[in-house]
Amino acid sequence: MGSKLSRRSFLKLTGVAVGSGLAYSKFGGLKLSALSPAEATGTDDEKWKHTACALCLMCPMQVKVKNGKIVDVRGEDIYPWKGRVCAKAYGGIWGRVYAPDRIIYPLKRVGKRGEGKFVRCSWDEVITNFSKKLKEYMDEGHPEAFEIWWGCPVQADNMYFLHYFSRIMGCSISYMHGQICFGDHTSEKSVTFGGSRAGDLVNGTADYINTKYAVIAAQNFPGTVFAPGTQCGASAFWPVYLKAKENGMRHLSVDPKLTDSGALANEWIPIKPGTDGAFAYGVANVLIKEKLYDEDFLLKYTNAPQLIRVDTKQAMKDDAGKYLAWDSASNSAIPLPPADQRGNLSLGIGKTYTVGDVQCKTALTLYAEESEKYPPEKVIEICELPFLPDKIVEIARNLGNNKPAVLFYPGFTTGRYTNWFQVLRIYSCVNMLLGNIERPGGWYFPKHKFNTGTGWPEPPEVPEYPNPDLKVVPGPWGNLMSVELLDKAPCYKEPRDFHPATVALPWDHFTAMQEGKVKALFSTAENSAITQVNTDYVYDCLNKLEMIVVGDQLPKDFIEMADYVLPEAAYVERNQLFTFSALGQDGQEHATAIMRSRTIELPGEVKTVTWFFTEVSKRIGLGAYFENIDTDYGWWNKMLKHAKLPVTAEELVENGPYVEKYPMTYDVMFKPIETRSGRFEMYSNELAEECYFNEKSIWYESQYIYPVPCHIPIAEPKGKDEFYLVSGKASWHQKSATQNNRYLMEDEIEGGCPFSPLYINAERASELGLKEGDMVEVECVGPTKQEEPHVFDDSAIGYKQKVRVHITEGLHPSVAFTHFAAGHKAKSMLPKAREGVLHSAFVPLTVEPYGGGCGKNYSIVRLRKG
Amino acid sequence: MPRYGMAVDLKKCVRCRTCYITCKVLHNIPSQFDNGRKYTRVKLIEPEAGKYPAVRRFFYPSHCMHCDDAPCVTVCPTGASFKDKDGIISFDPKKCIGCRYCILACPYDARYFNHETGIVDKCDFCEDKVRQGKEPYCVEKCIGHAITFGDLDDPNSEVSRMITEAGAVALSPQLGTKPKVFYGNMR
Repeated sequence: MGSKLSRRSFLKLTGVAVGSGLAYSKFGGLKLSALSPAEATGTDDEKWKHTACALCLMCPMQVKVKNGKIVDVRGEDIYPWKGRVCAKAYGGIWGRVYAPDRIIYPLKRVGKRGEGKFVRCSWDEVITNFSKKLKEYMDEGHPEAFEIWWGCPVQADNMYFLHYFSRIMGCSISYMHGQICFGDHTSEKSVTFGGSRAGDLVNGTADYINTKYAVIAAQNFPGTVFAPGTQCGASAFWPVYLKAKENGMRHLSVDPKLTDSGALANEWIPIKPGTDGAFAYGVANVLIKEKLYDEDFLLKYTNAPQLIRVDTKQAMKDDAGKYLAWDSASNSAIPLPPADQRGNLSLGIGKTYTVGDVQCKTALTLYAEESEKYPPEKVIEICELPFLPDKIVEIARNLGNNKPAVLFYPGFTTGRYTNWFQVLRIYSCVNMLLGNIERPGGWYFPKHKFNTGTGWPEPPEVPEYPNPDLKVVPGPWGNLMSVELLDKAPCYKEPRDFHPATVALPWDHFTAMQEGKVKALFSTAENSAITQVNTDYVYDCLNKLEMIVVGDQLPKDFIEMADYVLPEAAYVERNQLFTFSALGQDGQEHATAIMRSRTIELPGEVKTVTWFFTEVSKRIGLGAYFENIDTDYGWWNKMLKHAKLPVTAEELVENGPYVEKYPMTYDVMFKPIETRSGRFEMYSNELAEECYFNEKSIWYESQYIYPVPCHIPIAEPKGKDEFYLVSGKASWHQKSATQNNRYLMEDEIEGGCPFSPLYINAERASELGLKEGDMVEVECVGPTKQEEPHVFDDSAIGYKQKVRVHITEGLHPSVAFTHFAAGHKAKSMLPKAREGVLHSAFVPLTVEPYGGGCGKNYSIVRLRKG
Repeated sequence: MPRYGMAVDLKKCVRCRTCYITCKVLHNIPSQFDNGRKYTRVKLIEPEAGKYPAVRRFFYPSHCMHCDDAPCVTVCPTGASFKDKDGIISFDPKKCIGCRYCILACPYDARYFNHETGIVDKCDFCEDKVRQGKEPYCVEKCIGHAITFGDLDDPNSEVSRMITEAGAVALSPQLGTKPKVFYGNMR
């Protein structure tokens, strides 16, 4: 590395103007300095290089590098981007990669945890002490006392490598973030539609450009969304959304808040939090009553015709244990045929059939009976919708009359309340009624995905794995994990406590910390210290650990809890392969492979996480498993080879994306339906057999997993000064990568949607005597253990914080809204990042049965002026 | 000689804020967290209108309107603000004495005073790029392809067609400054 420069020179080099004494750029009192070789030599090279963003997901982009420094950014010229990327891509380079508070040396904590006092230390010191700790746990026979927490598949440095390390060392690994993001949604979609279709349905993969009417709940759609067929964000979705709108799609936003991008919708339906199940059932009620459902679809692809016993509500089976359905030709029960076979099956709405001496009804009848509890006027009342009951009828008719080119989507991010698994189930069943799966304008499954595998090195490339009989099971994002880990063991026992697709079980990790079973932690690409709910409890758990090591580019809350901080390579400073099959605005499927690549030299003593763990492996006697592994190209070439792609990682870096273009093909049965009936399940046989009717299940007879979905009311604000505290994301923000970002956090980028204050409905504010900008004290008052049976820890009750209010007409009266990621605790972050309320601190930790959601929006607060 | 103007089709604007941030970072405009000051050439105007639940939130990016009768040019005592031959309201930083008359005169609040340099700054339609035959950054980077730029005197230019065919209009034309930035599909 070249000669050192002063911090002032560093700022000049990075293109950030040197300001007055107000400049905020220190971390732990360290002087930052860096000089890349290219800058040192002063060469005048200029080249557009292929790489990928990581501020929300991994949009393919190019960066223009001049004299070793990025000077411009653009999207790759492939669908759906066609050369454009969003504000986050620019904020990422100038507000993160080149941030003046970029962490470029290893740091050692010198103050108390959370104080933010660090001094520079050497890599050798970190590796030595970290390895010593790991070896200690290994020698004690408990390597699992060490856990790796990773939070983002695109921001983390090679998640496959981290899982490989876990497999070899035997340590624990957890995608903790995933469970507060989408874990229960994946579980629900697996239960209802089968595992192989779950991911795309969770992500909202649809043929949007042919959609006529889309009812989308929550999530700040379209600004905070997965672009169809990709695992990329709004940069890729907006072109598709605009094309859909141009083609005539009407978009209805169901959300307590008129969000920043939800304001693009044709209509806003402000709904009371937690009542979404009643809303969806209200729609179903009209669809069924007015016969606006797709009978053919229900008979061919769903278990709507499956016979359920009236007496026990269990599936009626024949002597061979097969599920039954009613055959109208023979007027008798027959085994429910495989999907795609309609035969003479009957939906039998309202009918009772007698099989032997047992009375049965169809699954659809049970669903219809449940829906009758939610006539339009009742839905208006429960959901506190500011409309006449006809609005529900209108929405249902718009869906029914435009089917199958319609979408009824509960949003991607889930785990909002303990009833959410059932909310999702009710939504799923409405989509079955609409027959909008694998139909033009409906839900769509890309048919040309590349199967890359994990790229794990295998013997004889490396020695035989330790503990060769260890069972590994699927983990999130195509990873593999030991079945013995905290997140997996409860999902593979008999009967299961949680569905295997639940990503992570955070409360089990916290308990293990409290009990001293988990003793040390490495965290990368996440900020679980404050993103997991019930922050004080989380901090209490973290404080019990013997060692915390956190890697990142910028200060954050978790870093202030760390004993050692690793200066991690940023996303444009390392290599990684991504594949996906995007549905473009041109109506084609684009099977794509891209490489994130190292476009600039690493500043200071920045290293990749794979380098760090490779060094650690040498000190703990596992070096042979990691030596000679090329994480720049070799790893990714192995995955490309696995996918049988005629391109190398080197070529992707040099020449840009590899794309295969295919016409879209609509075929419900393009692969088998992996549910217990082999059909999309309106009545869940899995929930029935695994949980509700299983006396050994911890969820035995719990209505939260009742096989016919039901709406379950959640705890409510009571007093005039009580509100649901709801959080959401701004479309120019996403996660820890966009926080503490000196461009994305600016006041002027916010327009009319300020980031830090607490939003209150104008009329409610008036009743409380609150005016714009007034200070209020927010106190968590629920849900308590008395109000909600699934509260795991309620230490958040009584938590207080002060915040200024923003008065708006665009919010449901029952809600106080804060942006997710406001109110950080870390002193080393931008002062503005600490303004506002820390939403997670106000959320008692709840555990949603079977789906495992953590109730991330389940909080009731009291406001007091002053 | 062209007479440059711009049109924003708000139907295609997805409120992504890319115009704001690209202008900032690619023109090296300091961050608010560098100096505590909110410097920007692009303002995002997003007023809320109506009463719950019949409420809408409007949105448009606003910057120098490059008025044909620009009051900032009229009041500038040194000629630092001037109208170039191609209609761009240009700015010569060497001539600026920091009197800020132009800031007071601009009815669109499009200028800011840079306390570090002691001079005024504002959108110049990325004139250096434009004169190399390229588009301004906000046009080049706009996610929704909502912003068009070109010659207002050419009836076939995209920007002219936005005005004649899509009915794009100037903001507050009653002020009489003859702005050359137009907005279509206001909603």
